[in-house]
This record gives sequence, C-alpha cells and structure tokens, in this order.
Amino acid sequence: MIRVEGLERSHREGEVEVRVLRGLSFSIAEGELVALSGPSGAGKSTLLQVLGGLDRGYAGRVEVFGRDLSRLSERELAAYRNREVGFVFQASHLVPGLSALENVLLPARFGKEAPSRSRALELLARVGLGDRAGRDPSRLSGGEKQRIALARALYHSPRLLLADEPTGALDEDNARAVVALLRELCREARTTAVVASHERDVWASADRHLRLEDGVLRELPVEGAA
Amino acid sequence: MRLASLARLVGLGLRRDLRGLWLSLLGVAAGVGALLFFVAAGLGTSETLRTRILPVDARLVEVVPPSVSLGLFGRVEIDDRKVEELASIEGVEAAYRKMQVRVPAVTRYDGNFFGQRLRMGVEIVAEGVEAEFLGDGMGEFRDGEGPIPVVLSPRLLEIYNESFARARGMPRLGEKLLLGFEFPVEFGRSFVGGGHSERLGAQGRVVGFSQRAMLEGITVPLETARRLNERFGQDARTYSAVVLQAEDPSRVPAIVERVRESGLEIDDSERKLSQRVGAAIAIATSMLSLLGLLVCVLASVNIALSLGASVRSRAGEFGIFRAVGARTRDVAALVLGEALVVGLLGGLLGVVGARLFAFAADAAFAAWLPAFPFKPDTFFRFPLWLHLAGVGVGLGAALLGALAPVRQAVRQDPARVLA
Repeated sequence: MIRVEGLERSHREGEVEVRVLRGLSFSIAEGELVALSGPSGAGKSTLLQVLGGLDRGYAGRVEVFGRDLSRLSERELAAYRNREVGFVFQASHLVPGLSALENVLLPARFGKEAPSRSRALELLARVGLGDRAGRDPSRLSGGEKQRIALARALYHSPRLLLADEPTGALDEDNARAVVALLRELCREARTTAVVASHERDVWASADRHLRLEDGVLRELPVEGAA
Repeated sequence: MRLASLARLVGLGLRRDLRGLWLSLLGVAAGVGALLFFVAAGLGTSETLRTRILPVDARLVEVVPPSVSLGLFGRVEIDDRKVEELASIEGVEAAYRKMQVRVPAVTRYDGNFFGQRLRMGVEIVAEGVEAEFLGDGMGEFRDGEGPIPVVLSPRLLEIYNESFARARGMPRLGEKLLLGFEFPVEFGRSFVGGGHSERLGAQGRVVGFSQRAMLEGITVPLETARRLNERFGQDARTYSAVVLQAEDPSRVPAIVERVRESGLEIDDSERKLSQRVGAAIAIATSMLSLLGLLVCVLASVNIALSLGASVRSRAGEFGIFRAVGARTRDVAALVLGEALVVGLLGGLLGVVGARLFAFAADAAFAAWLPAFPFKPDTFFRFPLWLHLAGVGVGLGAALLGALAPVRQAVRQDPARVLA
C-alpha cells in the first residue's frame, strides 16, 4: 500500500522557486497498475523519484508498504531501491560496455547476495531477448533496450515498479509491445506499478488513471481518459 | 557492495577510456620511475662512499693526544693507564691501542713484480695495532722472528689498481694474489730527510686486508711497532691513538664528551669528510628526487582532470547505479577504485622503469666511463623498501588525484541526472 499525504516539492530555478508538487494526497493499493499522465514539466518524474526514494527533498508524508520514506537512513533507502523498487526510464539508461545480461544483473552488483546468472537469463527470456544476452546495448534497437531495462527493473522481483515514459522513445509497434509486456509481468507478479505516460494504451490498460497538472493530482476514469 | 562486483565495475570503468587510462598510467609511472631512479642513485653512491671510499664505523671513536698542551702538569699522554681509564668509560665495549713506528722507513723494490720488472723506492709509514682491531682472517698477525706481518687497506689496493697500475702499465692485483707477497723494508732510512743514524733491514709480508688498516701506509702488529721504537730509542710507552668501540652508535656522543673532559682529543677528520660528502650526495639526491615528486604531483593533477571528466560524462551511469541500490559510498568506492588501480599499475610500471633505466645507466657507465678508483659495479641500490615506497607513492598520487572526482561523483543528484 502506498499512502501519500500533503506532498510538496519545489525546485529553485535561478531566483525563482517553482512549486512542482502542491500538497498531493493519494493512495495506491498493492498490486494496482496506475497510469500517471500530465503535460511535460507537471512533476510526474519528480513524483516517481519521490516514491522510489531517489528524491528526498520533499515535505509531507510518503509511506510505502508501511514505511515512512523520510525516516529511512541512506543505507536503508539504498536497500529499499535495491530490493523493493524497480525503475524504468524513458531513456533506457543501460550501461555501455556491459552486455545485456550484465545490465540485468546490475541490481545484484549492489546487493548482498551473489549475482544470479540464471535469474537474469530467465528474465531476458521472459522479455523475449534470451538470445541477446551477450550483446552490447549499442547493438540493440530502442525497443530491445527498453525490454532489457524492464528485465533489470524486475531482477529482484520488486513490490513497486516505477516507469517514467517507458515508451516515449519508441515507435508505435514497439511501444505497444513494451506496454503489453509491462502489464503482463506486473499482473503476473502482482507488482504495484506507477507508469507515467502520454500513451492512451497505457491509460487504457491501467487499473487507475491519475493526472498531474499544475502540481495538483486528480483521478480520471480509466475508460474515459482522453 | 561485494568486492567482486566492485572489481568488475572498476574494470569496466577503466576499459571505457583506454587512452586516458594509459596517459594516467604513464604519468604516474614517469613520476615514480624518476623518483626511484634518483633515490636509488643517491643510495648507491652513498653506499659506495660509506663502504669503500670513506668507510666509517659509527661505533668507533679515535682518541688522540692533544695537539697543543697548556696544562701545568705537562702534556696529556695515552699510556696503558690512560687506556684502562678510557676503556672504563660507560658505553665503551673495547679499546684498541695504536702506536706509530716513530722512525722513518722506506721500501726499495728491484725485481720481478707479478710478471713485470719493477724498480722503485718509496717512503712508507707504519702503524702498529692490536690484531683484534682488524677483525678476523688476518692470518699470522703477530710479532715474531720472520718477516713482519703487514695488513693493507683495500682502498690502497684500489688506488694502486685504478691509478698507478693503469698509468704505468703494471699488473692489476687482487687481494688473494697479494697474500704472502714479501717486500723489503728499511727502517731508519728516509728519502726526504730526517733519517736515523741506524738502519734496520727487514722483510714485510702481506697477511691480509682490512678497512680498518691505515690507508696511506702499512699496518703492523702493535708489538712490532713497540719493538722497533725501542730498538731506535724512540718512545715505546705511549700510544699515538686509541680507538674506542662503543656498545652502539647512540653511546658515542657521551663517550666523546668524557674523552674531551679527560684532556684528550678526537680525530674525526675522516668521519667529518664522510659526513660532508654524504651531505652533498643527500642534497643532490633530494633535489633530483624533488623533480620526481613534481612529476608525481603533475600525474596526480592529470588523474584529477581525466577522472573528473570521466565522472562528468558518466553522471547518468552513476545515477542508474544509485537507482538500482548503490549508496554514495559505493559510487565513491568505484571512482576511488579506478584511481587506485591506476596508481598501483603506474607505481609498478614506475618501479620496473626505474630498474630498467638504472640497468641501462650502469651498462652505459661501464662501457663509456674510464676506470677510476672505487668505481662501483652499480651506481644504484634498490632495497625492498624503495620498491614498496614507489608503489606507495603511485597509490598516493592517485589517491590525491581522486579526491575531487570522488567528491564530485557523490555530490551528483541522481534525481536530477535521471529526470
């Protein structure tokens, strides 16, 4: 369960302080897939980073799976990101020089347990790239890169998946395939997911649709989203 | 973060920019190599000075009678009673007496000298010492009926070989070859005046070589010197010097003070010369080593710049690391690890480079420098600690260079980088 109360986040741009999130309050039930829409600069990425424990400069209360994120130490927060959260970004952010397999293993590099090649290979097979394990990311297509990023995000079977415009850089076919895969994997593992996206497909396939505009969040009906 | 993971990611980071890696490595290697080369040259030269040219045993104090005496009770002498008194000073382990043969002497050689015809005469100075002072392996070093046993300084042999023998086309000699060599000595005679009315012909026989033997003459048994002085009516009671051997070098200053209080003097001319030459070598070594250190500092700056650029270009990568669970200290360890690998490899490369350059320099000196007394086989000395220090300096330079990039890496805001 995710519970957010009075979430405020500001950025300083030169002399001006911009209020990105203005007292957001909402909750997400475990296993829900939530689509997050809104114009560029509305604060979608900021909200995802707050939920994922990457951004700590907020005011208000953010409770994820019973834990108040603001009370976690740096070590606990790193462990939270490592074990319980999976991130997928618009730019896949694969590490150049590491093979597809090594990229999927990356979360294990910062964990306590030894990396499991079989787990990584299983995930690569699950996203349809079992035969690309040894490939360098520079030799993969945009859709393939994003699927590898998805496999990496799921390495530790996270309870929360946060995807920031995961199809933003893909063509229509690839975008549709990635969305279908994301939905399927989340449903399978009953992973809670928040997906920021402009894609109608994403909105339509989500359990809920939240729209963030001018720092304020409102809920839209899933089927009527436009 | 597990060590294996750290090593894997550090290796990856280094392979990313091989050109930059080589530049950084060569920078550290050049600094460490130059530093080690000059320090090893200083150590090698100092060792040659200390062990071959001006060998000074830090535990020895040579006590001589005062050159000027203003006392009411006459000149302070070194007789057996005084020797006993000196030997009883706290911290003195042994006292060795020396007595000069107080009549002039010459040697006139006319015959076959190791396969060459030699005809020469030379004034010689003789000094009597106790056998224990010279150390072991001196053979029959005691006064007796036959030839007078003589111990020579290896430095005298070196000067003969590299100066006299070379200039006159005489055979070069080794210590073993000279053992048992006999030569005539005529006591009471002088080529430069001041000769005695009496003459005494004798044979000298070389029985050994010792760094403690006198450089510019022959060293004979103390009893021989005493007997000869008595024979010629000279003072055979007092000693020309007594060498005190301290238990350890730290006791020497207190012993020197006690000796001076007793009215005697210390002959430390050779020690002072050794110290002055040693200081000159140390200063030259330090100046040249500073150059090496300067190169290390430049290497450090180079590491800071290249690692800083690398950290900036890899901001997204570090952001991802943070997103998948890296702590700031993991990121710091990655950057630091890359720098330390550069420092370690650069340091090792520098050590190897210094040794190769030293080897080449020795070969060049052997081929092109003319032979001269005390010319060593190697001008360099590379003790184990110097190798370790070289690697340590490499690591230190890398660590210094990594400070700013590490700070830069841990200060990157992953939220901003990934947005």
